[in-house]
Amino acid sequence: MIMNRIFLIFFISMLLLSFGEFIMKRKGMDGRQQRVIAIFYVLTIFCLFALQFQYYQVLPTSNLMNFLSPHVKRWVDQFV
Amino acid sequence: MIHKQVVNHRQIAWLVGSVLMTGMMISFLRSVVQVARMDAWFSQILPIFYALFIAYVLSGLVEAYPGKNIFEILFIIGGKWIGGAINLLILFYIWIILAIDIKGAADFLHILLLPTTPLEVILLVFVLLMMYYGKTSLEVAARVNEFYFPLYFIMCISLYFLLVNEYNVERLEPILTSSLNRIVVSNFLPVGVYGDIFLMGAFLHAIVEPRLFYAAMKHGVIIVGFGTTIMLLVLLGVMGFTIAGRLNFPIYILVQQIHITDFLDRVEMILFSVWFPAFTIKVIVAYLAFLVGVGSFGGQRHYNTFNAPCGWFIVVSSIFAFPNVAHIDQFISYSLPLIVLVFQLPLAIFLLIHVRGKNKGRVQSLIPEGTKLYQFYRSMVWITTVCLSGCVIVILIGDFLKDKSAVGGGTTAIVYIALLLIALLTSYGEMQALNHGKQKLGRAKQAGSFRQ
Repeated sequence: MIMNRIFLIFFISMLLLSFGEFIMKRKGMDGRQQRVIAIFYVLTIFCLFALQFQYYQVLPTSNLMNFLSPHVKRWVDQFV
Repeated sequence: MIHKQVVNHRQIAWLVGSVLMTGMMISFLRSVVQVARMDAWFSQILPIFYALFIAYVLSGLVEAYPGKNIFEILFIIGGKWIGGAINLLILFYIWIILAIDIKGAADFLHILLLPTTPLEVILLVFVLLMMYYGKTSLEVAARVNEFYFPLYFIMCISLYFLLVNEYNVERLEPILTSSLNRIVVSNFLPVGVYGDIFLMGAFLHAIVEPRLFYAAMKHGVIIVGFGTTIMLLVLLGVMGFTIAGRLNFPIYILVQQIHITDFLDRVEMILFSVWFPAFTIKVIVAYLAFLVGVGSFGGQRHYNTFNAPCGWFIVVSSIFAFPNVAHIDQFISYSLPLIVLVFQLPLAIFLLIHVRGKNKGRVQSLIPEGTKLYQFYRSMVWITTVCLSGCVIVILIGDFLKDKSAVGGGTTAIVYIALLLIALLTSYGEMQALNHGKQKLGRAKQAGSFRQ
């Protein structure tokens, strides 16, 4: 899936803006709070990166989420 | 959000209704129809019991730990590590609900209504709306929902009348001739969606009256059971199970079948404009629950600072997790019920055992015993219980009669609907009786006040 360029520009600029705001305000924040926010930014950048380079096709995450579904479906089919 | 909020019992009931009912309408009902065929409309009764059980556990938690939400309670019970691990799993579960709903709605809009608008843009706009509500609180969502949910519910019920010219009762017949196995499995699939009631656990810290909270959630769950049963009846009566079981978006196609007159075209747009805000409220409730959960890890209830990072994360992670609508449909139909039964149910049983011990000896009554109001309340509780149990018994009797009498199927169907309707009315009576009792006890200002 190739992402829409307008979306990318808009999304990355908003991401940078809120990250900048976090950097500016982080001194007034609790340490735990800072860590939690940093984790979310790292995860967001990781997912965006993986989407850009089609890593989700190399390791299909939907299959990971859905790995139980075929087993349950088979069980349902057998049961009915 | 520390400021005091006011969310009353009716708003809780309608929030529960919105949370459970609107998500089902995108594509989920297809799988239920595929399994139980023309008897798919009997698929809501066991999920109703499941959701009532979760509601009971949540109200027990309110009684045992007033002023604490489920994340804080688990930290207290399990300590920093075990409690933290369980809370992480709950956060993951809420993220799944969010990802499914946001991506499902974006796919739905992209495929059917806005084919030239990029999917990511639809997704982003939806998340921006969610982030706007993330700056507010449950109270705002509850008030918006108070406007849209009744309209949505009336719309669902009115579908029968709007589609009466397309309706053929023969498409439902022979009633209750599917094997009991099919009906049982079709009751298993919606458990995943009804498990969303667990989201209310994130707002327990704001609840004062556990009994009224339970009655409100009970009424909300029965609204959903009744509304969805009617939707399935209309869907099957208009399309039949063969077509309904093959459509990606059966309810949308169903609404498109409305042809009242030649000059009134595209009625589905009017109905869609009611469904979408009600559905958005569901997503907002899930997002607020997610923020409360993240806030508990961040060590505070001010979740405003987590709003932006969580919002951006949800935009990209929902695309990452579910690339297309087929994956979402498969996940909701088969994986989600299993996740709910494997993770949520044991957790709820554990919490129930824990709060039973903690609440032992506590007597909590909003209505003084022996009064007329108390008698009315008890009769409402009993009638609701009898009606809901009666629905299960009616299905069993219908299954017993299936080879013996054609009239038997029709009769059981009418009795089933009548019992559900009575349960809906008596659960409302139960909720109102408790509310009157609360006001008579002079707690009007205290009770129903939600702090978040």
